[in-house]
Amino acid sequence: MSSSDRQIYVITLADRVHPESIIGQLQSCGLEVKELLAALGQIIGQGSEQAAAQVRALDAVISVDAQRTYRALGDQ
Amino acid sequence: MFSTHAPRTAATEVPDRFVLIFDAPDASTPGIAAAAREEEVPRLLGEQGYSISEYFPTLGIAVVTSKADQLEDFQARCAGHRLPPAVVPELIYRILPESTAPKDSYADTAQFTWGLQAVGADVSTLTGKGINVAVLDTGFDAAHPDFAGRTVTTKSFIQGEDASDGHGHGTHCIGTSCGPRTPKTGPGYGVASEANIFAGKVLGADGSGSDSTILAGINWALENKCEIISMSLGADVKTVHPPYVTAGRRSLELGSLIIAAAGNNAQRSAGNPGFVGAPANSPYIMAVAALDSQLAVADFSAQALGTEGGEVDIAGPGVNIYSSWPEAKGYNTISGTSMATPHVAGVAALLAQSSGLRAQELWDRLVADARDVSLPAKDAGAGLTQAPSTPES
Repeated sequence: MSSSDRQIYVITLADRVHPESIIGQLQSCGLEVKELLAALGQIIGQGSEQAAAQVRALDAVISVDAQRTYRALGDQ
Repeated sequence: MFSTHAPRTAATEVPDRFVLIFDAPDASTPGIAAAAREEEVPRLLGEQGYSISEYFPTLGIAVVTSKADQLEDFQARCAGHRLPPAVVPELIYRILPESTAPKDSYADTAQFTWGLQAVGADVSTLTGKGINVAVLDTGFDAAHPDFAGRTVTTKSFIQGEDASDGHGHGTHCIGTSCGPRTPKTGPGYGVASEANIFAGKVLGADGSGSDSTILAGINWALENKCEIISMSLGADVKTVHPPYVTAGRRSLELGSLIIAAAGNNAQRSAGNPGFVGAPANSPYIMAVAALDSQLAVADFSAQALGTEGGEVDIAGPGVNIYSSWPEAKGYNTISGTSMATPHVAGVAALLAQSSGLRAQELWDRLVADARDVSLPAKDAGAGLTQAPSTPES
């Protein structure tokens, strides 16, 4: 798998699921955990679309979304 | 006995002048007879030494000059004749001042930017003191002289860049939300001039960033108990991005309100109203439109999507906004829903300080207090954000 196939994903966890508790499951799916956002209950991870599909199937996961980009909204 | 303590009014009392009302004590009692008003009352007044030139028999009302003890004696005499008068001090009335209707056109002055005037921050005694405001943007020029002595916390979420502002946009937005009202030079431009500043760099020097940097910034703001999170950033996509639905909801649950720019994708003059983009189209993130100094919606300001969360919630000044800028330039005047957003964030900080409200209650109050500027809700939401003028008791 080339590095270009690997995307950054935002993994949003169900309420009351602590990010640290699910790291092992995400790694088992082939996702590399980049950052835990404990207050938000989200995890930033990197992996293939196949890995993302496996993560989506986990009970503790609400959504897995490919990262988007944003820009500053001035000057017009 | 009588009291000279009249109900509180704008009128002032005239010393030693009283109005005597000869009438029934309440609505259930018949009024005094015409004969008594026309003959007995003026006789009693004259016997007491009062002038009857200011007695109006049709009304049964006299205005007299008297010392208080003399008046008490007169009241006792009248009571013996079953004609007890009600007594109130004579008041001076004045022409009511002209209505202070809000203006519908603003301009920068030597004292304040037009934006501060339009939201009422120029006359507010509130400063946002004690409120933590996170501005997630391109960083901050923390060495800017207008921010000397302020409580500033910075953090960069951009790999390879420190928290300084290599773009300018972040310093401008922080200036509007939290800058000074009385800088050493130029007009006051900051709404919440004593708020604690949390400058999270989530956009790089090129002005762009990603979910991973922005969400990390929100998470950092929540960890630092920021009551307000201002995000003058967006992507021109109509679909709601799920991570921000959760991020917005969880922020509200933790006592923080996220305020985001609606978007600059309109070109109304060409018939394109645009649409509210992400992340402002999250149902739990307040979306801000931009108005110009005539209180018209800005040409670029995005319109509501027509989907849940895609509404425009409120509006702020967003055209030709003067604020701080990094390094030698010092100041800049720019436009965007980016500039409207920190006006609302600053007002939110004042309201949080004034009312103690947080999160959803703060959102509701911001919307309720907005000024109706006769624009469709799809363009300006509830209207122009308005700062509270004084603390709530």
